[in-house]
Amino acid sequence: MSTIRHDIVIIGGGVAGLRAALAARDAGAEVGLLSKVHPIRSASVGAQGGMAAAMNNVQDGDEWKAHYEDTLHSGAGLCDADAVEVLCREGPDAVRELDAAGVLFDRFDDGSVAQRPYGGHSKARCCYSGDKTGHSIVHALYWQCVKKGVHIYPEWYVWELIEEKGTVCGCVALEIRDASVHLVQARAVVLATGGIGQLFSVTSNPFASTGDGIGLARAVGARLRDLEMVQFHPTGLYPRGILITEACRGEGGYLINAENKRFMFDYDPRGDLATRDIVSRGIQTEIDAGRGIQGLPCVGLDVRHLGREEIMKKIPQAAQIAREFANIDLATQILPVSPTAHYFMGGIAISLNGEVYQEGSSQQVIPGLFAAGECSCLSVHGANRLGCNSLLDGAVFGKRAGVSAAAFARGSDQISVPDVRTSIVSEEMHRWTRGTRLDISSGQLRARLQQGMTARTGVFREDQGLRKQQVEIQEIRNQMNSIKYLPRKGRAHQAIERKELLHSLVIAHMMVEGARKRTKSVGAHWRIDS
Amino acid sequence: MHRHQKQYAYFPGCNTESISSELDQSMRAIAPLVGIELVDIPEFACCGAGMVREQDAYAEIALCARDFALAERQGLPILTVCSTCQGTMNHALHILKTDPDALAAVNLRMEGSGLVLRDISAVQVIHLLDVLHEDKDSLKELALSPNPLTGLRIAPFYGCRLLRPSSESPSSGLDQTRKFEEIIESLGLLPVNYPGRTKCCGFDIAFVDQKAARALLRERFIEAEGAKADILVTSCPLCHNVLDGMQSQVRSFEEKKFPVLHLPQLIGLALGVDERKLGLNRHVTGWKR
Amino acid sequence: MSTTITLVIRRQKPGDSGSFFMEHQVEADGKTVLDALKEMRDTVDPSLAFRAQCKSGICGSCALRVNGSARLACSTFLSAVQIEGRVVLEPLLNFAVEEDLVVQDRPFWKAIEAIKPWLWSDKGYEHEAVVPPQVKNGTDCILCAACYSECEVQAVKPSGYTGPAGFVQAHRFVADKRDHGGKERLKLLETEGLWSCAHSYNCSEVCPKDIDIGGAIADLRSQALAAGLGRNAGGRHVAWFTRGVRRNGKMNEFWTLAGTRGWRIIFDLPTGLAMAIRGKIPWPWGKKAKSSREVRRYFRSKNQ
Repeated sequence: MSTIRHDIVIIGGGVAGLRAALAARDAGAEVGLLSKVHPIRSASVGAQGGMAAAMNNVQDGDEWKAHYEDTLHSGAGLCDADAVEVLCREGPDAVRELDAAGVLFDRFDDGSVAQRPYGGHSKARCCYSGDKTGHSIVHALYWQCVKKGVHIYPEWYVWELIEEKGTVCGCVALEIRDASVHLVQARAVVLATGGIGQLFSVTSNPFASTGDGIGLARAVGARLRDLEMVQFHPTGLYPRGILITEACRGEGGYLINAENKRFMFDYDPRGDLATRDIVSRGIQTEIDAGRGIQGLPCVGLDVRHLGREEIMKKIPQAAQIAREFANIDLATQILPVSPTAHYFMGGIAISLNGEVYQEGSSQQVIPGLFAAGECSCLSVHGANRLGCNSLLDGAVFGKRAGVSAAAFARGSDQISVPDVRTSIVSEEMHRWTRGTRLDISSGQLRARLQQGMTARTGVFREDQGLRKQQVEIQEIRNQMNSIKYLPRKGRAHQAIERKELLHSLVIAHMMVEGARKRTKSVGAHWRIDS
Repeated sequence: MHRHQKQYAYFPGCNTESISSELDQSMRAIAPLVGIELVDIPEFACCGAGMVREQDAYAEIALCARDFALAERQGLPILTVCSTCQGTMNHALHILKTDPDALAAVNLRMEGSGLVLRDISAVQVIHLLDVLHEDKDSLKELALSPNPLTGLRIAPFYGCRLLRPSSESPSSGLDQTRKFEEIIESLGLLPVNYPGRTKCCGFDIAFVDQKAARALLRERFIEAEGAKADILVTSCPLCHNVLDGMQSQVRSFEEKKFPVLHLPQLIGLALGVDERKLGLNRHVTGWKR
Repeated sequence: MSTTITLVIRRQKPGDSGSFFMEHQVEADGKTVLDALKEMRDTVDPSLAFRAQCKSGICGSCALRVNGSARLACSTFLSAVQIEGRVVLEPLLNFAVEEDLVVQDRPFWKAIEAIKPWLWSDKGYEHEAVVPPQVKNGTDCILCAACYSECEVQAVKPSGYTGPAGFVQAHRFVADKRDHGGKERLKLLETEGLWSCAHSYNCSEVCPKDIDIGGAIADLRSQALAAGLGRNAGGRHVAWFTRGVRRNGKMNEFWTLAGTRGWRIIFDLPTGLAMAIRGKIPWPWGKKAKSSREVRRYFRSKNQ
């Protein structure tokens, strides 16, 4: 057991967390960053599309207002207009800051940051670094944090936030290596824990995307919102969930079902080139009707007719993914794909400055607590996130949260917390040891949760299924509580798996509730009984 | 005498022509026995050994290209007896085959000497190890039984550049390759398996970072000892230089000493060639029987 | 028809002095090493410790040794790597084992940090930097440490050696026109083992992103020499070797050795004498390649 003190503690080491840490550091604060995986391993490294910003380097007349309109349109009426204005106005500066931090954005011949078109954007405003924009940003920000003296704690798992006199003033954290417990005291805490893809069985998100930060915030009375808003990308490699670019269809590939039929023409005159949400629903309908290929909940992506040369020229990355992760040769074989849980629009309700609202309020904030990135919700993404806006969200609002947290810290005293608060960990683990069952594991229960969520809270939702899922979630929770925990020396992965599942169950329950209450379809939320 | 004689443009390499001349001597002694006719090309220059590359990457490609053109002029494949020459030439071949600009520029340089590389895809650079392996069945017939190596536990040392990087090496199978072991078996002899077989001897840093080089080298002997080897055999004179020449620097007086043979010496001994013709007397870590 | 393979996993629990092997039969079809590890954890032994995250080869978490060579678990199919029906999983080399397949990776992060892998620039971001399109060297690197595991020099040089991934990062920044590190960076590399690489190419061999690590190191050395940073054993070694080739078309062992070692050559006398007794004397007047004068022309040309 040890006690650590920092002015600001950031929880989560992806784009939003790292950007917040840097901003807080630049503002003169002393910063600690805790992440349950090494920051370099964060989900943000997988972000490929790019980062949208109205820089008008293509000189097609782009300006922040156009970006704003596109974002609002995609969000289908659920975006907070002020938040979107901030996002779009501050976009160009966010790109410049990242560039100065070392991100290797591709460039035009005139030396300006290159921008390319992207689905849903009326102008070519997507800045990128090859197909590795997220990777480039995370690496650059991480080493900047190291350079500037951010104290980084990789593989530290936050067990609980600490609240004293209504103010969040730190957290209790577990070092994963040996389950040792630490009291981390701070004047301000920023949550940047990412998304919730692991609530679903097919997701592009890594194993860490279990929504822990959202659960932590909930536990101290934070308001959560838009939890039913989950973006499913239509073509994820089945079953691994890895994104397969829509360029496969753009270049002439098509989706087929078990009957070898190009089924998309049944759903839309544009066939395979219909918009993402329509394609997702088309695929899901085929799967639900039992027409998935090979008896599996997936359809086939067929690009064989393009020929090997075209494939290697136009969609080399998809070919590489198929080869590397499915042992499939796109020139001769069909690729199994299904909708994959990709991005979480909902999350912890925050203000424009990253302050976390109290439950039931859109005014009162929880002093000392901030959030940014995918775990938060302003909402800039509304009911459906516009492509290339998530890296932007993390950069813009990560910075704002860092700045706000630093300002808050400057104006507040460190609240002292007795060491004994760390006993919550051993207390909880002790409760777990009183379980009775050893025949099931939290891993198995996680799989069960994922199956249910995918089936009943996935692309399609309807009241009966959602009610059933609520019951299912409760059953899983009961089973969870009955598992006997066996304490052991060494890595705490089993304890953490259990804690992650508990957070996921909380979020799942609220997600299903939200989906039930929202009886009308909007954006990514589709009610077949509306 | 071997049934078929195949001609090769013999590329001994700089080290083989000076310090490790016993490699050259033994190579010439066994060549006719295993169907190799060595054609000497006095214009052959150093391959660059990966060293010239670090001064001037382009110059090293040009050096190799010159050697390729010289062999091409005679319509012969190049035979190497040094893993480093092989690896260096593999790299040059790879660049020249994949970068048409490099090929064109190199030909431009060579114009002055009347050399031109016409068909890069036809250039062949093969190491003795691969030549012998292709014909290992003949070795079975040619090997004497018993011979001075019968019953000895033999540890083959490939030399890293022969195998890596595999994207440039025609020697397939890489770390799982058993070509050397199979040659030894074909001679009716006993190869041993030990981790050091495809590892580094440290030659390239032997005079640059002596501490690291010696630590590396010492590991090789510890591994060989762990496999109860009696002798080592190398396919690279640079490896031989340190395994043989610097062995006493990394082994204490009481520790087991390993005689180190060059690949052609192994062949020669197994085929009954007079030991005096194999240059064994030039080894630092003595070959005694 | 499905194939069964034997999965063998090296286990080591904290506090244990040694390791043991766990064996289990696994259906191999369509499964990656990561699939198998998760299966083992879910169905056989929940205490099995390993790292994994993105399952898509971009985060670098899951590097481990598979049948003796470092690879990513998430992109390695059991059927492709099995040897005689066996797949042996072990933690990365050159690290202390923390538990089972998890290694204590702090030394790796420290080794990379040593070469300061961030943009050396005082420029703020008030104005957008104008930079022509750049070659991106080694930006595919996911810092998985597979190269660090397999580097033989890393094994004998735990400090003062940034390692293959470190060189890749340095190479990336040296090429970045926004970076003003230049000669300073190359100087820093000198103290971090730039000249200690032994060209064993294990790094390039195992890199899951196919980065030409050996090429990056060769290029860095080349740049160091061009920047006048050759006054060390490694730099002199290259310079003297090249001098010999340029002159006579053949390298000259005597001058290469003398030039590299300088006065320290007296320490090499024991080796030298032992070799001389056997007749292995590198004469100062080396061999000459026929018509080698042409070769000199190759050196006047610039690098492409």
